[in-house]
Amino acid sequence: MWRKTTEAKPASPASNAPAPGPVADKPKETPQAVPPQTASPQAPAALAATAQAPAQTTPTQTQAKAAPATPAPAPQPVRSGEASTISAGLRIKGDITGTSDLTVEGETQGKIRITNGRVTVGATGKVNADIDAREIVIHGRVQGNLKATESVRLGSSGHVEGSILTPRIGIDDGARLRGNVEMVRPGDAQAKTDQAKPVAAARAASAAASEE
Amino acid sequence: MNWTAKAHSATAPATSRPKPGPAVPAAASNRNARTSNGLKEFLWMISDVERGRILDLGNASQSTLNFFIERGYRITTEDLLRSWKEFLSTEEERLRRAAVGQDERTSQALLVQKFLDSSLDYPENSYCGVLAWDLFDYLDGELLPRAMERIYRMLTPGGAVLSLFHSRPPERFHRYRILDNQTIETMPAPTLAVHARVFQNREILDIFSEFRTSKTFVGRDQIREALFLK
Repeated sequence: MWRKTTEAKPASPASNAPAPGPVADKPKETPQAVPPQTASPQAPAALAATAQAPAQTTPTQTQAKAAPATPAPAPQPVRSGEASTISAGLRIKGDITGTSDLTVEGETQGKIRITNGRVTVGATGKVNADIDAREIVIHGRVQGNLKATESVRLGSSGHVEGSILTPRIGIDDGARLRGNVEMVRPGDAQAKTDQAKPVAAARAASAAASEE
Repeated sequence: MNWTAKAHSATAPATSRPKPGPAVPAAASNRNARTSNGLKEFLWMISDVERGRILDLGNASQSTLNFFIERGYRITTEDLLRSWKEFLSTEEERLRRAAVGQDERTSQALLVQKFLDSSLDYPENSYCGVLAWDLFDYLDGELLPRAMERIYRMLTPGGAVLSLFHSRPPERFHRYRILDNQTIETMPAPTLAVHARVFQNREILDIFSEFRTSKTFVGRDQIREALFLK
């Protein structure tokens, strides 16, 4: 029965799988145009402290689809919401900026500023600096101030030593917090963050001028 | 007569079916909730302060944070007892690892000083209220007066301290949180420290000798609430 079924199956153009048949019918292996990750405007924003992989064409990207007559399936867009992870065992010194979500399971020393994303400090994560993000979730340990434009959540294993400035806060039983909590209206936290920009810009400009 | 047993039997068992009737507030239906005249008075004392600062020396609690934030206060939390216990463990570990002959045993007073170098360190006159809960029942002898000095210093004139004292050694360790303006929830928690001592009235007054006025309230659970004003 199984042989009959196989024979009856035509090498239809609609089929995605390469159908067994004469060599002449075998479709040519033409590479599909899969945009490289870096070319996509949807690509996750670069994190200053994370290494950027070069835009290489991987073998999987060049593999031809079996049925040339059928319209190629739309390439999977790279989701901008994809989180970058600093894994356990990694230790990063320096500021981290970007827009995509960030999960810290390792250790960082340096400001984290994820303007429109979520920063999650995992249970094994340690951050010794300020965190500035839309949403901050802490399961690990943070020594520094937290400033969120949307919300801050301390999980039961979370430990924060520093001030918290946010419109919304959630604290699970068992979480530890040593510092001030100040609630602001949703726009205010961003406004307070932006106030620092001209100062930083002025410093950068004066530094550039002195270099010249 | 066993008053403890009576108290327990008076509360409805958890498995009993709730009787139909009008809805009761969450605080009233909570077995661990206790009415607190001390809290009511504490809130009244600090009610004149605009955007005042509160220092909570217990564990960080969502409920307590919300309570004060909704009323326009700014709140700081520092779990002093936990910090002290962790500090002691760290010191013990350090001594254990010290090489033979390099034993730097420090006196209790020096330990306390070292601890306070990085704890309870807030500007003078910066808080209008301090929630100490039952912290003083658990603090070691040397730390208690030093912590009290700090608390007095950081309070604004007219600022209030709310603390709880057990009239007998508690059966287990508890944490506290505010449910509403006259209700505190006592939450059983893993034992963080052994109950150090039971203070008599006179001793409580001695601890707060620097403070101007005081009020005490004794609850049915034999917890004494003490409110002191700077």
